Amino acid sequence: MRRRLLATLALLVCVVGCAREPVVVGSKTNQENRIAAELCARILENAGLRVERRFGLGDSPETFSALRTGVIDMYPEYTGTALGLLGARREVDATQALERARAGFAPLGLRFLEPLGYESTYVVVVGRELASREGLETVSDLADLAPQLRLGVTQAFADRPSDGLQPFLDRFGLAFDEVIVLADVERTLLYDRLLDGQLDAVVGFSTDPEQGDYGLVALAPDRSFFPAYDAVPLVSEAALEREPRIESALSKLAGRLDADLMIELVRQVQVFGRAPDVVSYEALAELGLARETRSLELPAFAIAVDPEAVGSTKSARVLRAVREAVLGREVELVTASDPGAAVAEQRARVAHVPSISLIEFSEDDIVRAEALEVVAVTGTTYLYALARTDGPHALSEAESIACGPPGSASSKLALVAARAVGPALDVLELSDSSAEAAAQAVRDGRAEVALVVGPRNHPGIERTVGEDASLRLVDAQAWWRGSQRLALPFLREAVVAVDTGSASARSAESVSVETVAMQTVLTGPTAPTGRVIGIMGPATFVDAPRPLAPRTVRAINAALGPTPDVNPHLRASRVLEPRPATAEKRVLGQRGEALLTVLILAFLGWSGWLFVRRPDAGSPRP
Amino acid sequence: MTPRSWNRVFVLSVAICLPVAVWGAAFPAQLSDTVVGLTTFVIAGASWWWLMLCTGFVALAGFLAFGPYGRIRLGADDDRPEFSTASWIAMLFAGGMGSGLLFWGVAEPMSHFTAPPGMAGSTPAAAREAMTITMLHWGVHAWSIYAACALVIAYFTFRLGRTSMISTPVRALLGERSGGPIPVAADVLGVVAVVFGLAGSLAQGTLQVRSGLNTQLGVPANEWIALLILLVLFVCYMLSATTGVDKGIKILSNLNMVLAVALMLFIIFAGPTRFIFETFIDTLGSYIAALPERSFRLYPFEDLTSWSASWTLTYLIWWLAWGPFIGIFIARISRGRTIREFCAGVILVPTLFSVLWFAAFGGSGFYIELFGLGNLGELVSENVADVLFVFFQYFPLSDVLGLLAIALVAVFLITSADSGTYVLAMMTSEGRLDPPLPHKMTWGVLIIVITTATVFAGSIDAARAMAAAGAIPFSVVLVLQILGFFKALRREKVGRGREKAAGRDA
Repeated sequence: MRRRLLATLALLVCVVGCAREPVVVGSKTNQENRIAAELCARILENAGLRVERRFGLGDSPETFSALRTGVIDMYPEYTGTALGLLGARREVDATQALERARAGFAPLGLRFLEPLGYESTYVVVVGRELASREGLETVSDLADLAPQLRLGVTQAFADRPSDGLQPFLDRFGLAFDEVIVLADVERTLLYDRLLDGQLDAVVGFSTDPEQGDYGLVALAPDRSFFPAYDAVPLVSEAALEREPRIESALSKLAGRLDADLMIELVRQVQVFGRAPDVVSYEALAELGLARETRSLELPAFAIAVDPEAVGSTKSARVLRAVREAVLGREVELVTASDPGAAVAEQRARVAHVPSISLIEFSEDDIVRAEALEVVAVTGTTYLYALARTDGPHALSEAESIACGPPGSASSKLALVAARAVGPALDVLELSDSSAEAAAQAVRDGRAEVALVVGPRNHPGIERTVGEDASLRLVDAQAWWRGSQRLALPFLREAVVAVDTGSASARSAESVSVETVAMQTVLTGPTAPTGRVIGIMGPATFVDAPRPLAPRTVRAINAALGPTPDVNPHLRASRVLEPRPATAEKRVLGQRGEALLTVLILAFLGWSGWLFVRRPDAGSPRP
Repeated sequence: MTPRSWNRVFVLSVAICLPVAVWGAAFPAQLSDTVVGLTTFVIAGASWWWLMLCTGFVALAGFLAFGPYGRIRLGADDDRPEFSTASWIAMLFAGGMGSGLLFWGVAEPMSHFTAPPGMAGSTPAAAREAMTITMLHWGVHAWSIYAACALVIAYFTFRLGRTSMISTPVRALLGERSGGPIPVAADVLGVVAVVFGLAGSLAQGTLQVRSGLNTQLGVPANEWIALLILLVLFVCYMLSATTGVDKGIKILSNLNMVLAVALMLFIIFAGPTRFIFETFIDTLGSYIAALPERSFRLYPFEDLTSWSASWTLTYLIWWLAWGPFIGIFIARISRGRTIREFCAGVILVPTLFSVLWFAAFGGSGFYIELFGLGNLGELVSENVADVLFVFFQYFPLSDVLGLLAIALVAVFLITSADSGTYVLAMMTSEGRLDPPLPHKMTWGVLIIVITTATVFAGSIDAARAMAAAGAIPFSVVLVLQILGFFKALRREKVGRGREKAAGRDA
């Protein structure tokens, strides 16, 4: 017995001791490089090699020096970056670049294997609203505007001597109002700041998933500047000598990865919070390079929005916050002209709407919709009233108004306004709630005034008013004075200024009009009130939409950052307002409950008497 | 004595249930509002009474098991158990464990985990709290209620040779010749409790089968599919009830037990095994430690009365609603057991099993939430019915597990409806063990009508509230039954004479 134990131990020592040194795979800090490294590591493991991962070593210089000093054996590098490290001339042609990089690195004992098949280059990204307002398409288009814009870049980009920030600014002749440099670990904040409006343009990677997800616009580099940045495994000759299988194993990946795949993988990790190793394994399985695996198919978390809001900065921010809150699940936007109804029909979990959507119409009253509660405040929505220059001067003077389709925010506002103005007012519901449809209705004379809701500097409104001199914005507030003010206390007064000068001429001539504003909110289903059974617990109405989990509400609010409190006239989630019930003081005596208690006590007394009284003759006898 | 086939109990029960069925089919929202309002008032208004009553059953079971009456046999002194202990326990599970365990196995611990009363959710402390609360709902309280209902019936039927009617112990309390309205009312209330309790459960099970078919096979989750499921259910149990293919049902029921246990073992061994067993032991300890305190916990100072009303009390009342039904079933299979054996078998063994079940399903859920991919918490608050099937996705062979769960729920539905029909027919034919066919047909049809009304109108809360509504008056009957039982028990010569000698033989 003891001998066998010793033999086993000896064998174990030999196995551990005799095993070859692992191949050390390194990576830079950015997510796309980590994933590429993970794919390489995984394919080496599949070939039976022992692999050690040292990811996130820093930016290119740090990772490169780790390779040179033998701390790591390989990492994925980009040809353009590699040439930059050598201090060589920029090379735009991909094949040429690889040739020159190979030639330059061979004397250092480093070898570029076959390219992985994708390029990760730098791109200049702006928000869609800025791009469409100013007609931006290429990087050079920025030149005129740059003095009014703020650019965001990473430290790594700022540090690059030949293809970095300063050479870039010089090449395109750009002088920005301000250039903000973020630490490399805060890369994703670039997009957050862009969405929040703290930045106007950023320099990101072509493999960043945020550009597609948030509808951002990548400007075409119209002058040759950025070199070819093909991703290629850079391996030390020492490691290839020690473990010749590295080359054959990695050759399986050669040319198999493309930019779309990498964007999707980065999205899976960065946006959905999935584990990089799981994501990489799934990708290899999909490419037929690993055994097939099963993945979770969790139901998607849907956010209902008005079709007009898709692609806007605000809904992109909400999308981002919700994704962060329900990491691991797909989050999608569902379009509905009445997003609140989509939640009630369980087509969506939450709706992103202006607070006017949280009202309902009864016979002759306006009431708060009791089925929805505010989960988070996301911003402000303004009401715009469009009219012809020869038309009425205020919404309250109109005899006919056009608005969005039934259930939309503008149609609810129109119906309320119609009640305020009187029965003579005609309400025309259009097929969509865009500014263009509204403008067309006014031009055609189908309505005197058309209502549109949207953010400050609504791009559609600015465009229509800017392009068509026969249209203007009119006072949208007068109707709201009086009884409507009591019915809709969550509206507030506001002034919107619209730049009526055309986009190109930029002859700023802004006109201010009075209007109303309200909070834009994310709303979810609420629990029924006034009953105990059915709110929660086993008797819950299984088929009805139920409130969001408290943790989800908190996570969404945390991800949105500092937001104002919910307007007190709106119904807020219990998580945001822990104790709404304390508003009403309870009276001491509850007559019904007292009576019930008396009945129970009487029953107990009676049954006790039945039990202790003398048994009668007919009692059972065992 | 030949019972009149259309006796008072039958006529009165139908006269109560039929209008409710029609009302529910015609104006579901109105029925729902009325019933929910009423039960809310009674449950929340007298929460102390419901908790005291149910904790009383636990104390009662403890007293009977360990007190002087423990050795009394449910049968003549020389009777011996009809079934072996192993098959007796298997049948207990089959009867008492319905589709509820499948429905709530993951969902309930996860619900408490995300929103525990009076503390922050989604923390390790919340996980422990969630398991304790879940066991409070599915542990000794539930089974003590069943045990009390069953014990009374079994004692009077097998030891005293009376009919297995709800009213028999009540008559013992009121006096044997009492022909007044109270015993009849007791029988009728028992029937009403069973009808509504059963309809609520069947409606919930139908929705779960539909949800499962939707997630697993992509069958649309609309009302026609629900109707189809109900139709298949109806044909199956009516066929069994009317043609007497009881054997088939018994085989199905045994098979279901085996499958349920197999499912649990798969979850245990394919899932985080160590974590599940740690959860099992940890829960056992915290449950035992918390039991004395939690049995009396109502949260008056935290202003969480509505929480205990909608969770704990609703559960307890739900068990009360099922009491007469499960009670008669358990009584039938327990002939020849001593009271002590009975209490241990009916309360402790199923409770232990429940702890293991929830440790496996809820524990795996916690593991996913605390250390794994997460997201179950939000899904629980999104759609309770889908949670089990989504949960399976985290396991290998998830499609097989999903289909297995659907099959399990479907068979549970059929066996519950089948034995429910039988018990109702028995209760309304003066306790005849072979109830007449017209009675079975009547109840079979009435149950499916009420279930369909609730499913079709989408008002499950009404079904649940209705189950509670049936149980509320029945709780009064149960108290009278227990007192009648004790009155009869006092005549047993305990401690001296033949009972003691007989007890030693056991």
